[in-house]
Amino acid sequence: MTDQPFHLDDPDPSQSEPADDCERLRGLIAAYSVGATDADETRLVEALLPDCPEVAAELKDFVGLGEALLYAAPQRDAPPQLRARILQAAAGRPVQALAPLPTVKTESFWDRLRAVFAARPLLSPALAALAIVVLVASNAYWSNQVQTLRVRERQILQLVQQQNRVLASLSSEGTQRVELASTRPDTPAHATVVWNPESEIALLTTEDLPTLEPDRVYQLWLIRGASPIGAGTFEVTDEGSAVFLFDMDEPVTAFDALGVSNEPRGGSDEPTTDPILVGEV
Amino acid sequence: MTSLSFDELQLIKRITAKDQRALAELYDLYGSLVYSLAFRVVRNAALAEEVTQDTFLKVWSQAITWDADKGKLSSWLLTITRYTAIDLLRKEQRRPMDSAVGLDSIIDFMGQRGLTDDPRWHDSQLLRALLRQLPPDQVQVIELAFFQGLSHSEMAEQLKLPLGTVKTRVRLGLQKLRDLWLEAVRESDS
Repeated sequence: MTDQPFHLDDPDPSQSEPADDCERLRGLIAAYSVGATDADETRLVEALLPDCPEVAAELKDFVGLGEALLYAAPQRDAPPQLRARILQAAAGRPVQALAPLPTVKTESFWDRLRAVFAARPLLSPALAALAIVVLVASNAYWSNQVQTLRVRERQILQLVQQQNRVLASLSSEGTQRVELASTRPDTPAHATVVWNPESEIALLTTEDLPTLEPDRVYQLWLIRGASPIGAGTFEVTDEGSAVFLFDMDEPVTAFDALGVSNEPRGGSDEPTTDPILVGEV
Repeated sequence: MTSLSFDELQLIKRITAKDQRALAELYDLYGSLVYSLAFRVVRNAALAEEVTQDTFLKVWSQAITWDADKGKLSSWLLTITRYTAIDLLRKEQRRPMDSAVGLDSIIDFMGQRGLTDDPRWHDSQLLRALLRQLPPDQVQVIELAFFQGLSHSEMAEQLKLPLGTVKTRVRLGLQKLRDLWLEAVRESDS
């Protein structure tokens, strides 16, 4: 295995020795297996492959690796409505973007009372009185439930509106980002902070950060000169991922750098350990 | 042929015969797997749904093209997913890295889970662990090539690196990953 870059400087395989051709092919076969070769390289690979059986055998290993990579995406649950949409589309029926929320037909107390008496015309006065008591109690219960659901609906709507505002803010053209890299070359941990200069919120996403002891958390720092300002604490999944939304009193560009350190749960006033991730603004 | 592939063969035959219940069964088996890969490529919940839908509709209309001798049904499905997702990125003329991280991903992060009932789950865990053993610059080009469909020259342009450097990183990274993977597979078999 050579560390020298491979160069496609001889595009005509007919002008070179077969051994050289196969060596040239060997340099491209890995990239070819994942579709990373450019068009001229792809043509060269496909022209040389029949004459280089050893490299062709090597290609099989790379194809197997590519197949395994297909399964390497972190698992997510598909949205529940997607199944119905796909089946509707397969049936040739018009596909609705989102299924409408079920509507609840509201009936008044008197409607229900009339319905009870209509269904039970032979109720005795005592049973009728009992029915009224039960209905009144049930009505009070369901009124309370409806009220609770309405409050919850309002809270969800507010949350969705807030998320939409944040999403719109972070999706707009002026969005900026800073990459935070690991301070230790032997670890692949990294993070990204994304923000919109016109808003006061930013989003940190991390990958491959080690999980911490239960009494420890990660803390994000906005660093100006020698002064770090804590921007909040967060925890990571078993896979080292985190998504952390934080507010800023000042734009990120007002700081020199961002950092992440391992701190006691609850956070620290200033970093108590060396930074694990840093990124220059 | 294993009993699983026999079942898969029956499933595909039913889908070819336009049995919608078979399509529903296929979705129940692999819907999350397909959606997960789609999301990994497009990094956006709405686009991942679109890719998932397109993938299953392609299977619905072209199920007859699956050849059981050439690979597992799930691998075929995921290959379609990968190309469909990369095509969508190209049509949208955008790359996931160009767009901000959507807040929809927060909810998806919360919903993350291991697909422990899938026999490939341990392989996927293994491969992700092996990827962590590679230098970050090699992981970066493997990600760009495999999950975003970039060629050597497109990666060089995006990363602002010499073409030769990109080629070397791709080659060394994939060779090392292959060696680690084959070694791990051999160890688990012995």
